[in-house]
Amino acid sequence: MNAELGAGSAVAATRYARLYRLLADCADRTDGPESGDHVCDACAEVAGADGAALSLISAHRWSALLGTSGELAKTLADLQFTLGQGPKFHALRTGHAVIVEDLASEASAHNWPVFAPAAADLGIRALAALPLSSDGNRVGVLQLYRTTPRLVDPDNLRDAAMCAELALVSILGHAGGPEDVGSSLAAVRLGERAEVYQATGMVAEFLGISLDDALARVQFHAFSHEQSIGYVAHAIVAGQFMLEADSPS
Amino acid sequence: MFGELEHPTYEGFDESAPAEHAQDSDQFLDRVAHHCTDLFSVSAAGVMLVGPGGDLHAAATAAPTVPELGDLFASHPEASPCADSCHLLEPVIETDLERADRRWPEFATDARKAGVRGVLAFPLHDRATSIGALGLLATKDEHLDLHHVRLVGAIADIAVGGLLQRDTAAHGVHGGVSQLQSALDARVVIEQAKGMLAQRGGIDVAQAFQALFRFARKHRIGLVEVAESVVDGTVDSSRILDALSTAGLRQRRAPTPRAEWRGMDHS
Repeated sequence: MNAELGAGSAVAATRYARLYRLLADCADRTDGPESGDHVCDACAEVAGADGAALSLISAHRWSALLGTSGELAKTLADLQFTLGQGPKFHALRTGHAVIVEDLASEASAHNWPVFAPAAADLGIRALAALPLSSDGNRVGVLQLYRTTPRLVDPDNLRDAAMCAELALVSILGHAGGPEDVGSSLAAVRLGERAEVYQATGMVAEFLGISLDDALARVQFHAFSHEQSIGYVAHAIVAGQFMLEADSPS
Repeated sequence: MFGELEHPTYEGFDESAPAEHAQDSDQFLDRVAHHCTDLFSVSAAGVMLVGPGGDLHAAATAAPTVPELGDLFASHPEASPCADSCHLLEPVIETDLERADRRWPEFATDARKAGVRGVLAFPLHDRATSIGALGLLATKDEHLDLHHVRLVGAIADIAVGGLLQRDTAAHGVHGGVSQLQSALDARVVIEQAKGMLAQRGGIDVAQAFQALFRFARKHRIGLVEVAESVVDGTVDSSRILDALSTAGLRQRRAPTPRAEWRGMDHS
């Protein structure tokens, strides 16, 4: 075996060592509910980011969180879900990665008037939303953030997206075949979003409106009262609260 | 600033998208090969698999800039770095094919003619059983070194995982993804139906699930199918709620207050 360690190999070695750890991790730990969290930890490390969130998107555009690197990443994902606004949606719509260097900038406020200032308030300054595809379909989004402005070396981002894509295939492939609907259902964790969809059904039935409109109403109420959508949904499901037909929220 | 970064991964995949009749696993291996050329900045990558008769064949190759390089994997399947790696179950690296004329006479000659200088091959194996090899070809301007070996190994593990899943589930890896997407849609529609039934019947969501479940079992219909008919209004909800009444399980919850927000602080 011959080895020629070439120029620039220190940088390359660091990058490869990170990628190696990520991929080995994904290959070894694709079972269990924490696997999505491990992927997020590793992708954040590869990209040089402070955190990451990985979402699965269905053909009907519903989403579920497959994993997060921690609380702030989860809050970031929930914020966009509550608002129906943010780089994640832009990335999904266009199929292109969206890179935001500073969420506190005027340009960001122009692009996402509600999301950008809210995210900056949470301490999230730089953000990348990378669409993931499988078999030609967009199946997920990897979001990476930093708590300081300016994210990223595009090479690192590209590595992270590539790894997330391979990891997604690897993780999801473990969920079983078509005859095994039970394990697939179990692998999709709606978490507190289950209550959001229950509340949506209740509001749709109560007001006689469509489920899409009902979700929009729940989202708007949460936003306009500065509450998390999970909090509002829980109150509706617990019978403590119901949206009114004639009030805007 | 807000900008869009063109994403080479997806462009690469779109270009390589195989014909419609191609197998899911071939698409997966094509992606692995393309990822390898991209990640290691080499001219060609190939996935070799052991066939039913024990012979080695090229299952997927990627050579985005010089397509002919991809043919090198198929032209000398049994006397090549990939074959050695597959049979020895060890990584094989040769950074200068000038030194390999005796080891792989025809492969080394053809590869050098095509401009290839270095080669790296990593075995694909399931425990002690060899199922193929993953190979990279580098021209004289490109660079292969020992650091690549570990990373290629990790990618090889993922490739094997994908292949084994296909075999055990008789179902493509990407089929697994769309299966998960369907499962997500199913979960969402069940939760929505629970909410609609709970509101209609004045019961809690756990009871609403019981109603769905009992109705589905009684009529021998899938739970997801019942939930879908509740959501799109093709079944009368009161019929489903009756499933609870007949079981003596239905208890009305306290009526929903119609007033606005009551006693909840903002968080």
